[in-house]
Amino acid sequence: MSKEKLNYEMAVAELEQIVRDIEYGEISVDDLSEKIKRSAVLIKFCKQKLKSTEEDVAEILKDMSEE
Amino acid sequence: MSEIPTKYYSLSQVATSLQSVIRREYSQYYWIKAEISRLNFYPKSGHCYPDLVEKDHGKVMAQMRAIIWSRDYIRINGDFVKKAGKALGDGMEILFKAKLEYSPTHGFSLMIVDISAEFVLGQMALDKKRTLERLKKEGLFNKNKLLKFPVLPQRIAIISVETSKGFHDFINIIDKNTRGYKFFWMLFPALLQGDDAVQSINKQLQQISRIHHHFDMVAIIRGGGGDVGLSCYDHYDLASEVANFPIPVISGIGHSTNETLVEMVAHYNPITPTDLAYFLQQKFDNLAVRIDEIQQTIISEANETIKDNKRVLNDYSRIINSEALSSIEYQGNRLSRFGQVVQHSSLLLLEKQRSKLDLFIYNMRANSSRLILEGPQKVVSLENRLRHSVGSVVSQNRMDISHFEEKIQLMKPENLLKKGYSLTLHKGKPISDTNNLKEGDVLQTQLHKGKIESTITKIDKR
Repeated sequence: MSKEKLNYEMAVAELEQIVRDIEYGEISVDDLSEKIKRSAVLIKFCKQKLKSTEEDVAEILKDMSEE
Repeated sequence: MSEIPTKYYSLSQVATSLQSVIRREYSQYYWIKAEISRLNFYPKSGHCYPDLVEKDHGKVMAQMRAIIWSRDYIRINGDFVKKAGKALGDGMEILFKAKLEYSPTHGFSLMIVDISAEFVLGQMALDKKRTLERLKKEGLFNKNKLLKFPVLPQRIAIISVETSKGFHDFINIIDKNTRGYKFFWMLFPALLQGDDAVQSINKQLQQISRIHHHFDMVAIIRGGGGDVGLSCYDHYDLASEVANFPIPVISGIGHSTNETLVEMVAHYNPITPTDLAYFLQQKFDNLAVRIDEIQQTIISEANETIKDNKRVLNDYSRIINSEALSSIEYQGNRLSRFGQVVQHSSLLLLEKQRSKLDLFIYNMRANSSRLILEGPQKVVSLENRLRHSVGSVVSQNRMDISHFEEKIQLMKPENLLKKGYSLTLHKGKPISDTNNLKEGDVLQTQLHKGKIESTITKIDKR
């Protein structure tokens, strides 16, 4: 999953999966640190996403005129 | 044209006569049903001169002018707006109370003194019911509601007007929220009430539809306009456009007595723009809370997992320690037991070997002393036996020798010849049988004294 393509919904879905896996003991100690690192990235992404948007009015107007 | 008629009426005479007939014959007020083809309201005077028409399948059956005097119009329209939620307008089917008037200067007209709001309301309700049924029949009623609401409703296409109070309330809340959530919105201006609103809103919806990938939802925000002019939201064209929209449409049209069709088919209808803003903020709150929960859960579960694993490791280490100790102890015991066994066994073995050796020594001693004792006796006995044997052998041999001597004497040929025995020779060699002899052979016979020569005449081989 590349960083550009990540969206909020996917990030949350992945986080929920990690939570489920951890809760059901599906994550071994070997994978734990990697999963925690990943969740930190996802949590940061989600928190940032709530407080920022990348939409560009100019781009929308361009799209609108192209139609 | 022959002569000039002497009797004739002036126009005013006719008009006045007509006026009196009308007054006499149409002195009452009547309830009449007609369509307002044009309202013709003159704001300056405040009077209305509606063109009334009755059509049957598009064909004009009758038409007549009407008058609503300013004073009446204010009362009628006020009551109408209050009850029906919209002002009198073109194309409206109305039931009105009027009196037929004829004025010599203005001609025929219906002077309207009352319009039944209930009738129009009934017509509108009927229209609305029909449209609702149509939307349901066409599978549109639930169509927008069935769209998945975005997890993060962040990008909003707003259909409103810059001057709308509702619009300002809405953007104030979402732009200045204390939690720092960031929304992206874009205004698509449209008329929000009255009959032209249908076309105006639809135009913007179609515009947004083309670029809907930039947005998570559409918000139709009115607000602040009261209950008037909302009937456009019951229009099939607008309601079907909303129902068919590719992304969720949220309506914040404002306080209305009855829920309009657009509000019914919209994905969600928080009624007021303020509620809509708080609804979105609540969504963000829920997401933020969920993210925090996830964070907490992951931290605590990870800690728990590490703790669990530590505990298991400690258990293992304790078990290994105690197992090692008990194993060492067991092996130690085994070793010392083994040592004892070895010691004991070797002592036993030594003892056994020693007694074996002792027995051997004893036997050897006993045997050797017996041998020593018996030895000389045996020698003497052997000597005696030897002596005895030797003596007998010697005397026996002596006897044998003298006997042999006698025999030998007897065997001497001279003695034999003396006794009369003779020796026969053939070709110089002694013979003892008839083999190699044949008749005619010459034999020599040696006697004790003298020799004879003879010829064989007969041979008996027996």
